[in-house]
Amino acid sequence: MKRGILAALAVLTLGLVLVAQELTPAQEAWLKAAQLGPYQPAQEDWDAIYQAAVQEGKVVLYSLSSRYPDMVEAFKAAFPGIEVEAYDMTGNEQIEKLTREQAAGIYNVDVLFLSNETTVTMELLPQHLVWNYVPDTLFGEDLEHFVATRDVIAEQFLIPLVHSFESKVVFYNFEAYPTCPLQSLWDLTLPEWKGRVQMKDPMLTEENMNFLQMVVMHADEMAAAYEAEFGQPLKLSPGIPNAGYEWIKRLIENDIVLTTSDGDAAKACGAPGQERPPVTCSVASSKLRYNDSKGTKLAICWDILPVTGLTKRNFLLIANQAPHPNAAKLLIRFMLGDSNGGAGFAPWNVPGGWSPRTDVTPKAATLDQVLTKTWLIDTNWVYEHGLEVQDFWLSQQ
Amino acid sequence: MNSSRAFQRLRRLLRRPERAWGLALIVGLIVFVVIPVAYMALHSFMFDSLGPRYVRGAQPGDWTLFYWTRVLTGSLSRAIFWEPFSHSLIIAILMSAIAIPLGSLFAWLVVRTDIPLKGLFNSVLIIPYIVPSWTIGLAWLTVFKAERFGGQPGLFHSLFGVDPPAWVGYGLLPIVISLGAHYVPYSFILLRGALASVDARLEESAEILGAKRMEILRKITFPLVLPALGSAFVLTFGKGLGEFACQAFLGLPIRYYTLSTRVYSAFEHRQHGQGYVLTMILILMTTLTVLANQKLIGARKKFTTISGKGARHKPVKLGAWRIPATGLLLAFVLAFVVAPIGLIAWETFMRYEGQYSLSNFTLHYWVGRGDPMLADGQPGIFRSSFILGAIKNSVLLAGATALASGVIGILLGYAVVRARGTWLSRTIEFLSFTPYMIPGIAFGGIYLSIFARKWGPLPALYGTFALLAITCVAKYLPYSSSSGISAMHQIDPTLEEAAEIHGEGWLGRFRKVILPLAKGGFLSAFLLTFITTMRVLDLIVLLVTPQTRTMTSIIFRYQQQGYTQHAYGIMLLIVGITLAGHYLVRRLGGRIQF
Repeated sequence: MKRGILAALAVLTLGLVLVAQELTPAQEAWLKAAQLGPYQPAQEDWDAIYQAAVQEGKVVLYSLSSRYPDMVEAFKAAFPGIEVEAYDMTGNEQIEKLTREQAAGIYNVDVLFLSNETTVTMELLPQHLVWNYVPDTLFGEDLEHFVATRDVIAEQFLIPLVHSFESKVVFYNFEAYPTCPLQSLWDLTLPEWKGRVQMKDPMLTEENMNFLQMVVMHADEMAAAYEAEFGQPLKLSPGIPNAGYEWIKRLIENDIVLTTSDGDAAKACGAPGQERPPVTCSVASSKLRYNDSKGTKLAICWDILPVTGLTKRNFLLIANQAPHPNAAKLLIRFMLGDSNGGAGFAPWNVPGGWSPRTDVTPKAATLDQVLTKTWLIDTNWVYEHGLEVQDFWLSQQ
Repeated sequence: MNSSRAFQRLRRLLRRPERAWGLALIVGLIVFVVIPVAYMALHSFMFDSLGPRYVRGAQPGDWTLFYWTRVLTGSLSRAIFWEPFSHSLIIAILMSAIAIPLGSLFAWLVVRTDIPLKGLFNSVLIIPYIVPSWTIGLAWLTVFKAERFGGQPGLFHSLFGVDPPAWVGYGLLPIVISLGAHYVPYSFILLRGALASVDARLEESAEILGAKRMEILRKITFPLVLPALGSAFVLTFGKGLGEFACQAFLGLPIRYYTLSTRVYSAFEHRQHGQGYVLTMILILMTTLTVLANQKLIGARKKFTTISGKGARHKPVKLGAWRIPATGLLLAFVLAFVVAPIGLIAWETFMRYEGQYSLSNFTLHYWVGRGDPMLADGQPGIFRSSFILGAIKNSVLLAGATALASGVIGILLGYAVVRARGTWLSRTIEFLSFTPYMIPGIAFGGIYLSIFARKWGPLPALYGTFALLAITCVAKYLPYSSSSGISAMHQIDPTLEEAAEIHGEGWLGRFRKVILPLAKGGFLSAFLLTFITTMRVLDLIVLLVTPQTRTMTSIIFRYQQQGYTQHAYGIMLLIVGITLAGHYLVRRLGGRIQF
């Protein structure tokens, strides 16, 4: 009897994991009704969408960022009759919850605002747990004017739709150092910086593991940067396959301090009145705002070799069989802001944050500049080799 | 089987309803205890959803030894398993070495000596247990936080201008001290009960025969309280292995990993297979502890102490030791009760962390509206619907769990005690103790995997309040059953028989005789589970969803995001609510007993 139950359980699990990639009739029907995926018309009727959204009455948002309250208020003012239920959840929590709910046939959430690039592109989208949605038009100079989405957002940032970019960078304290005290990432492994490099534990955040993975993927650039700074080729330690892994090994040996949040690392680096403040590695560029709110002295080391860090994409996606698809469309369009930034995008229009829209002026550095100073995450590479890097990191502890 | 025999059986069963009830309990225990463990054991041998990314061609659900070899012998086994394993073991041993002697000493001082302020110590020494284990851990950080670990440095740095040595702020030492102090009340409560029930005449006879005080302590008192000590050891040691929050706050910043933080990180990275293997090992270790304790001391799984109608004790005169002993107790209370709670309270009134000046005083984090310049615009605790919702959830969850546990405890106790000596009784007792051996974080993980989806007649429970409550009730079965069993032991079966002779049916007997007499057991189970649920984090950290968030789960998140004042403020509220709950139940006549 018990064995029967266990066997049944095993079969059940197996079945769940091999989620059918083909559309179920229910999915087809939902897509059709919601006019999503293959059924999205080239030209959307926004009045009809608003009417339908009011019928739906509300929209449920999971957000990786806790900065949404002002946006939510502005949305409710702009689109009366639609309630917003917003929850602050990490990307991992969103994915864990979404996969388990969908497996159980429960459909709660409408819009996911998360990063987790590899899981989103390699698992969630192919398995149809989420749907990519690109509004045909976005708000222009205000809510009365519109621009074609493809005119203001580059094709490569439409699938999946990018809401915002954020970089993970090297910070230094400009009160203690007039300019960035580092030439290349390799300086972080020098005795001078022993115990004075801070980073959020990569085992606690996927982005930082992604940064290490990109260091390994770009091993050639790492080797070149070493040679450019020290005038001789890098000597790899025994058993270390390339310059990327060598850098990670040396970083750990240099007693890197792992924090439980980016904020802690940024505050440690930027606190005023320090003689020998630490620098950070892979800390969110948006922490620049601490300079206003917490009186820190943070500055980004833009020009170090080969790059200062990583640029991650935050996506907006509609959950499969979302109960309020029309309200979800309205919310996504609103969160992409307008040509002046706009109330929908305001909380993320900060120094160190970038819109994918070419018509929005960033608060610091342009998106193109940022993309030349940082790496984007190669999700294919991470899917294939990412766990090797994660294992290597673990083995070096 | 012909119908008249079946009918007779049914009649017999109805006359002995503890049998029928016992069978129902066993079915429940199989669903909520046996199957989850079996599920996990099975899945530790299967590829999880990340399997294909580790092993090309692997399909999730395929049989494999991959995770077991990876954890135990692979090139990563030292980092994933052996080192965290040794850390966990050391923590458990050292914290037991602090908690048990101190708790026993305190119990002896309070019960047996002429130490002053007994009433005060009796109630205050329980507080470290009532408040979350990480209260002390976080308070520790506000004192010893070093500049190099980010944010504002702690009080120590403010006073002396230098960082304390790194090993003081983070890692083994603070974890052991925080947890050791937290579990002092376990030994205190257990030994207090044991010492109070040791027949004083035994000791007095020895004294008359000329034995010295130390000799009496060693040869008579100690052996008599040994089972209680064994119980204290199992409880403390087992907790030390599974404890999560304190080890996360104080260990992660310096990469000091333990088994429980590794389990958490595995589930966090959706590495379920690896998480199951680590969990199985944790269960095995706790089980071994319990078995070893039974073998060595012969203490039964239930935590009874010696009972008997003893003469009143003549208090031992402490003489010259009276002042240092009182001083020790006061110092403990000051250092581990007053100071942590005080420091945490103080911290919530600071506009900027760690600046101990009056100009930095603010009520913003309690009643302020959001200010984008402070904590990213999070409104004050009493203005945040997010936090208020969590408070409501926590109180509801603790209340529901406590109520259910109290009732189940009595019913369980009734089934076990009335059927004493049968296989039914033994099986129920063993199974209801099993959840104790499963670390909270693992227990939550299994429940997440099993009850998240529709399963036979059970609907999908993921994201429901019911799932949280069921998990807590199941996990705390050991508390409710031991309270219920010891309460039932005290009810003379002849009372029930008398009622039966007077023609009372089973329900009537239960309602009119058993329930009124079992009030103490009910309240004890209620109190224990209420307190434990209010401050639980590891058990539910994987199960909560935005709608079912609890105070503890949002503290963890706020702490991780660096909203320190909010985190500390919510913690203070938890302390307040548990203390109030404790006080209320005490007024009703309940008290903590294991």
